Amino acid sequence: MGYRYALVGNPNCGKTTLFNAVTGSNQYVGNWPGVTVEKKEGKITHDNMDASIVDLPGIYSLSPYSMEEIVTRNYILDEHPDLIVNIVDATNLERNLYLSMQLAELGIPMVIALNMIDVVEKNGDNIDIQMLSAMLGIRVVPISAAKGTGIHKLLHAANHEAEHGNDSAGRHMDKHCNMCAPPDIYTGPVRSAILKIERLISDDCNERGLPLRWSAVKLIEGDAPTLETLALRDAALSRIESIVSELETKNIDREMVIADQKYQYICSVTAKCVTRAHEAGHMTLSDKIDRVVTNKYLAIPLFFGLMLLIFYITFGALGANLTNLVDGLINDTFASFVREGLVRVGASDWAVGLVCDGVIGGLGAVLSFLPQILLLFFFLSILEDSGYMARAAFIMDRALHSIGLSGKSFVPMLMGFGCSVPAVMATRTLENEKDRRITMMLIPFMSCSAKMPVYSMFILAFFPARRGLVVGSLYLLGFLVAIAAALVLQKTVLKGGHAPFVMELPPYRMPTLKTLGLHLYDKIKDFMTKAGTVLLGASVVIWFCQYFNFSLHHVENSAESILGTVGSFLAPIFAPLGFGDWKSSVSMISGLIARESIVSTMGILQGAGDTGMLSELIAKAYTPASAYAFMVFNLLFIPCMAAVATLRREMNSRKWTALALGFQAVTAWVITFIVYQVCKVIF
Amino acid sequence: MIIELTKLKVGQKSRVVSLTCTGAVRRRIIDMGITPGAVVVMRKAAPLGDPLEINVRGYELSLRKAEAQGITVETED
Repeated sequence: MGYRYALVGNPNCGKTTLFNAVTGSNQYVGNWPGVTVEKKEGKITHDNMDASIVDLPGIYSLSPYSMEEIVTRNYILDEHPDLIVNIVDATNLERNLYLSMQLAELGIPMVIALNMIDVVEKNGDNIDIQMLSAMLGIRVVPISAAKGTGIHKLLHAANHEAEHGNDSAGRHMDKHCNMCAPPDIYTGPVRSAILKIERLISDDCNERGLPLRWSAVKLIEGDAPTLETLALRDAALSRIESIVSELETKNIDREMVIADQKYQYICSVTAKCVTRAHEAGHMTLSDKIDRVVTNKYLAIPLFFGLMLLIFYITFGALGANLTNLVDGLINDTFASFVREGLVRVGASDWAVGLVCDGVIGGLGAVLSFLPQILLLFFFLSILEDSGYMARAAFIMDRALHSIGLSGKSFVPMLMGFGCSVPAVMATRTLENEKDRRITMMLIPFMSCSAKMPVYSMFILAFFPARRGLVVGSLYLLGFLVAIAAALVLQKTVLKGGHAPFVMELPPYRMPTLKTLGLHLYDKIKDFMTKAGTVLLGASVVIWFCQYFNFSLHHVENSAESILGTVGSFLAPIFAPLGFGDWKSSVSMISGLIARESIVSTMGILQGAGDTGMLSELIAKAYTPASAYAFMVFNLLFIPCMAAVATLRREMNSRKWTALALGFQAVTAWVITFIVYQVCKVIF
Repeated sequence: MIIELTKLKVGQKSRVVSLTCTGAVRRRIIDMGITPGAVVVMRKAAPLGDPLEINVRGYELSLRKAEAQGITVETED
């Protein structure tokens, strides 16, 4: 079996870029052992090396502070990877090395990938790599993950370390790079305290399989999980207590003493290894951009301007034209080609119907909205990759604070405009469990990109001239409902204090075409998989159920079909909302499979051949008020099953998931009812 | 002069003296490199007045005033 590497580093240090660079397309998403949290794993494809690498969440420290830190820490401690590849941002050396110093204490062989070395050189700074390696006692390989330089060397170093690194429990001599055992970073009383504690707990550590230095240091910091795992006897505990209390001074207590020594050591290292072209506090390009972007007067108008621009491009002329183009290709050119072919080979009527009306009609209606979905994702990816999302959190924190949330909740919520699934997963950056739950419950109210096709369908039929206004009002409504919901939840089921807000503002980076391409490729792949499996299956089932009745006889009037019967049973629930017919209720329920499914179901049930025909049929079946109500309910109702599954997993509680879904269903019904009553008067 | 971090003027440089905050946020602040002796420069306040942006250990960090109140610094003048 090959080696297993763990890729660990700070957030925003290029970890994912490196992961993509070393694994190519050889990636797969698995689950964490024990807890069900997704992890990304890949095979290293360079030089036929036999190794796999796990992409661990970006973290600042191994303190059990956020969920991502706990996940990473448990992975390393429980799964014992053969080697840690620690990626370090060379432009932000001090804080990145703090994590490296913690990792080094785990006694697992390690190499440091010193990323963004090209940026350091461009800034005119210089890092003495040899000296850095020697002082840290860890092999350092300069790389640029974005440009793909140094990757070969890094993998060779990793392979070498994994082979020889464990020679003497992580502390090794390396003849090739003149490296000796890692220097002791602790000095004076701290050092002797650590050595004393190590002697006290060495047997317990062996027994429980915990690294000795790591455990001693964690005991000084009063780390709860370590105390629990070691389960020391009272005598040992009180001995440790007296050792630790001797260490404390007026300004430096036990929690700080280790971090203080680590940072002091790091400072002595950087002072020797780094020569800077500019003094500290020099205005970087990032600082200059921030003078405008987070400016007191410009920041908020800029933020809203940016959002408007993105939605204008996505839903305006460009998006609409692309949609028409794809629609024409699939529903006219392709569908008529297939229909002719099937008729020529003598296929029966129902087979032609199933393929052309069921499959192509259903999927085609959905596929034609793919360009708009991709456009929206493209812009959201740029916001994310460039570092703007953190600024959005910074700008909006005060406003979110007043509804009891933190600016950090804002990023997942913005991502919710793309897709709820990654957005819900992004809540892992929130440290506070209460904030995390509330944010997860609010995300489905953000209008995700899969809800777009539904709006487009109704807008085409009823409001073609006021497209912007209608779409804008829906996004705004979702946002307002989320705010109101946050306030309600805050006052009722999820009471508790305000969460702290401590967040890095990473330097702006130009998003690379390669990464953007990868994001879009992933999205297309996702969408196509969904279209080929879930949506295809749903389309076939829906077509089948509206073609036959319960005794499997073909019915002329689809109201008598299986679907018609079920739909008529559900319809009274939706009647007060303005769309109490069986076709609407079935379409809406099919949206629980995937939101796009509403469009494909509607296409099949209305018997439409293409988007143009569908909009004519819809114009007959609805009124402007009921159309708008349908869109509102689609916006607020329980999200698709992929999102529900993610919610369930991330909430890690059946009760909370049920509560969230119930809350969304009730909110959707009540708000839609009000909106419909108001619209009836206005329209 | 020893003051609360929140009292720094924009652009003013200082050194961390001690942390008076408690709990999980204290651990995070320490991990982010705010330890006694660290140089902190005040950058700005967000448009709505909160949070603050500071420069510490060569990177930009934002934190709320409520958190910054628990950090005592010494200014150079």
